[in-house]
Amino acid sequence: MAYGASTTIDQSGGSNSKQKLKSKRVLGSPFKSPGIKLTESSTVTKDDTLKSPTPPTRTNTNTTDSETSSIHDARAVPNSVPMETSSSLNQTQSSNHASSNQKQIITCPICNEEMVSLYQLNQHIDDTHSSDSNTSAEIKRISPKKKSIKMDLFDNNKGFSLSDVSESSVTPPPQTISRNGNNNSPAHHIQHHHSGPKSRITRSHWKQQSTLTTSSICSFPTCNKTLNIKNGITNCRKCGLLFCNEHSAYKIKLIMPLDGGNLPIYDSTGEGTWCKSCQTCYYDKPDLKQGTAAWSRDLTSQFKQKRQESSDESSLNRNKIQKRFIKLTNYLAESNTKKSTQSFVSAAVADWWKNGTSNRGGVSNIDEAEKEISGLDNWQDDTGISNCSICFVKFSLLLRKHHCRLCGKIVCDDPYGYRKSCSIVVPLSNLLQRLSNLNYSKYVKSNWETTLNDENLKFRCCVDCKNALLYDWKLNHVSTNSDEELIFNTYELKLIQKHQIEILLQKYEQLVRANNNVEEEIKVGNKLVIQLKEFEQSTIQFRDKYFNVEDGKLNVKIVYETYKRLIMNIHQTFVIFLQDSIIQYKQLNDIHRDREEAKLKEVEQKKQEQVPSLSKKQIRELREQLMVMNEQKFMVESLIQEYTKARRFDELQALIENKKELAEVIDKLELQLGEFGF
Amino acid sequence: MAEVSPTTNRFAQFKLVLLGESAVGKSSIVHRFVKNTFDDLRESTIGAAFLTQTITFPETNTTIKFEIWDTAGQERYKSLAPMYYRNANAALCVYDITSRSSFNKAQDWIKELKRQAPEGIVIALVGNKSDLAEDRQVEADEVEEYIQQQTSEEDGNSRIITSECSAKSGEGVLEIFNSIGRALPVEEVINASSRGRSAGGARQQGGIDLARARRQQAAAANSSCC
Repeated sequence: MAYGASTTIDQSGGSNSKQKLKSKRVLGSPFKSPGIKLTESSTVTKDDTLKSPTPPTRTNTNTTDSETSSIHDARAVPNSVPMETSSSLNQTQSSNHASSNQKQIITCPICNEEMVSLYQLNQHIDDTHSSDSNTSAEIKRISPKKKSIKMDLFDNNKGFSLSDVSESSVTPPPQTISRNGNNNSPAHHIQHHHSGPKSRITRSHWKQQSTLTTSSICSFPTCNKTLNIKNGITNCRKCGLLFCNEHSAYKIKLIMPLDGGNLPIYDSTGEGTWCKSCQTCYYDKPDLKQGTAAWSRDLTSQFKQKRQESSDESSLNRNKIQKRFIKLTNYLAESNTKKSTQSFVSAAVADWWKNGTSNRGGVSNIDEAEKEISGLDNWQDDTGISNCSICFVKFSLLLRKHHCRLCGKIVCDDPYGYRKSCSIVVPLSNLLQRLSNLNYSKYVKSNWETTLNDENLKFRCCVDCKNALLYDWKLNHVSTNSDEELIFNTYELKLIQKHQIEILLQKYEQLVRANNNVEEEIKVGNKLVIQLKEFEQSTIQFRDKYFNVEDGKLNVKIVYETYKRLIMNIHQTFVIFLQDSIIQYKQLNDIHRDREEAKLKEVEQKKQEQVPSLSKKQIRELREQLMVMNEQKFMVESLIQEYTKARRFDELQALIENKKELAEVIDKLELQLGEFGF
Repeated sequence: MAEVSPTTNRFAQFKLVLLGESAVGKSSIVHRFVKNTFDDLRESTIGAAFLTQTITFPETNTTIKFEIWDTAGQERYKSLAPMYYRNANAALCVYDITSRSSFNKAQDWIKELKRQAPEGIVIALVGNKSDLAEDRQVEADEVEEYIQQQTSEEDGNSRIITSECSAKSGEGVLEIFNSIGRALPVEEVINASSRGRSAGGARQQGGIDLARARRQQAAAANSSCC
C-alpha cells in the first residue's frame, strides 16, 4: 500500500477536513482506504483489510502514471465547488454506516460496486477494469470538478442511477439492482462512466428472471439450458434477454442513442462501453456483419497507392524517353538532310556516324547535342564505370563502352543478344514506323518519307529505353493478337481434355472387357462421365463464343472472320470427337449396366431363396412353434430328471430320444426364423 | 429291464400317441389306463405328457409296454403332434360323444395320420364320455358309417378300431388298449428285437420293419413289470 501512503501524505498537507474527505471520495474508489484511515474508526480499518488484497492488481496495471495523476487530483480538490462536498460527506457517512453494519461487505476499489466475496471482486476487477486500461487512464485525466457535477446529477436522479449499474455484475442482476439501490453511493459510477450520462447503458429493458420455482431457460434458440448459478444467468446488455454463460460470453461496445431512445445501440463512435452481450447480438454487430473487417486488414488501398507510385514513375520515365526520342529524331533528321543536301559534313555528324557504325566509341566523338538530348547530367562519365549498367559485364579492350543516346547510360554493345541485348544500333526507320503519331518537328513530318527510308539514320539505344519507347505500341500490338491467342489457348486446353478422355475411355474399355474389378469400373466410368460433360460444356461455350446460329446453321461471328477456318476446324474436330467418345462410352456402359442388373437380379433371387419372404403371420407362427418346442423340451428334460431319480431307465431311453428330436426341431425352426428369432 | 428269456416271456414296446380336440378327455383316458384314477378337475395338458403302461396277453404269453405320449389338444400345441405321431405305432384319436366338433376334429386327425404317419400305424377312434350318453351328439351309426367310408377308400388295408369308453367310470378303457395291443404287430417286433439283441445287444425301439418280418416262436413267461 505504498501507493496509498503517498496520497495520504499529500492529503494531510491540505488543511480543510472537508477537503480531505472530498479528496478521499474523488480518488475514490481506488484510494478510499487511506482516507478512511485518517478520519474514521477502527471498523473501517477492518473494512480496509478486507479490501487490501485487491489494490495490488490495480497498481500492477498502471503504476507510476496513475500515481502521479492521483496526486494531481488530490491537489486539485481544494478548488472544487463547496456544494458537492456536503453530499460527499453524506456519502462517506452512509458508506461507513453500511460497513459498520455489515463488516463483510467488500466493494470494488475502482467503481465501488459491492461484491459478495473476494473471489468475485477479483474477477470483477479482471473483467471490467484491467481489460480496458484506456478507460481507467481516462478516469484519471478527468478533473474532479467534472465528476462532482455528474455526481450531482445522479443525486437528483436516483432512479436513473439505480437502473444503471455497470456491466460488471455477475450475480443475478435484479438482486444486484436492489442492493445497489438501498445503500449505494451513486458517485462510484462517475469513475466508471467517464462520458456523459447518455452513454450509460440502461437496464430498463432487462428481462427479469422469473421466480425461482419456475426456472427459466437460456434465450438462445438452440440452447435449452436452465438458468441457474451453475449455468449462469446473465442479461444481454443489448437485447435484455437472459442467457446462460456460454451464450453471454461476448462483449460489445454499446452506447445509448443520442436521440434519447431507451435501448442501447451498437457503438460506432468509439465512446461506448464494453458490455456483456449474447451471441446473437454479438454476431449482429454491424462491423461483424459487414464482413471480416474486424479480423483482417485491408491492404488493397496501400497496395494501390504503392502500385500507382511505381506505375506513375515508369510512365513518367516513358514519357521522358519519348520526348528525348522525338528530339533525337528531329536532330538526326535535320542534321542528316543538312549533311546530304549541303554536302556539309559537320564534325558532329561525322562523329556520330562513326560512333553509330563502328565500335570505336569515345567521348570526344560524341556530339554535344546528342549529350544534351539525354541531358548533360544524365550523360554518364566514362571514368569510374567499369561494368555495363544492364548486364554488368566488365568492359575491356574488345568490349567497349557505349552511351545510350536516350538515357545516357553506359552500356555494352550486344547486337546478337549474347548477354541481355544491352544496346544495339537501331535504325531510326524501325522506330518511326511504329511511333508514327508522335509530335515530331515540322521538318520531320514534312520529310516523313525520306526520313523513314533513310538507312543512314540510326542511333544507339539501350534495351531499357527501347522497351520504354515501344511500351504503348507493344500493348496495342499484343491486344490485336489476343483473339488468336485465345483461340489457341482454348484449343490447347481442349486438347488436354481430349487426351484425358481418350485415356479414360481406353481404361474403361479394358475394365469392362476384363470384368473383374467392378469398383474400379464404376469409378472410372464416373470419372469419364464427368470429363465428357466438361468437354461438352466447353464445346458449347466455344460454339457460343465464336458462332452465330442462323437458320440452324453455324456461322463464324464477323468479329472472328479472320480466323474462320481455324475456328470451324477446331469446332468440327471436337464435336466429332465428342460424339464418337460418347457413343463409345454408351456402348461400354450398356454392357456394364446389363451385367450389373443381372447381378442385382441374382442377389435378389438369392435373398428370396434365403428368406422365403417370411410374412408377419408366418413369423408369428414359427415363433409360437419354437416356443412350444422349447417348452416341451424343458418338460421332457424335467421328466428325464424325474425318471432318473426314480431309476426308471426303461422310459428314459424314449425320453432322451424325444429330447434329441425336439432339439433338432428347435434348431430347424431357429434356422427358419433366422434374424426374426428370439 | 428284465432280461427275460425269449422262451419264457415275450416282450414288446410300442409308442402310442393320443390325439384329439382339447377337453375330450385324452389325459383322463390315459390316467384311467395307467393309474386307474380319475380327476374331475384335470388341468389341461401342457405340451405332451409321457406315461408308460404294460399289458399282458396271457394267451400268447406276451407283454406289451405302451409308451404313451398324451399330447395337448389345444391349438397352440398343434405343432407338437407330428413329432409324436411320426414314429408312433398306434394313435388314439379321441372325441367327445357329446360334441360334434370334437368328432370332426378326430376325423381330421385320422386324415392327417393317414397322410403323414408311418404305414401300418394302428389307429383307434375313441368316443369318450360315454357316461354322458343322454347328451350324445355323435351316434354310433355315424361312426360306423364313417369307418365304412374310410375302409372302402383305403382298400380295406388298415382297419380303424372304433370304441366308446368313459374315463370317468373306467368303462371300456382297458378294452381299447387291449384291442390296440392285439392289432399291433407284436410278433414282428419281438423277432426284430431279439435279432437286434443278438446282433448288437441294443434294444430296439418299437419300430416295425415289415420287410424283415419273421416268425419266431418264443416260450411264454411272466411279464416284467415296472
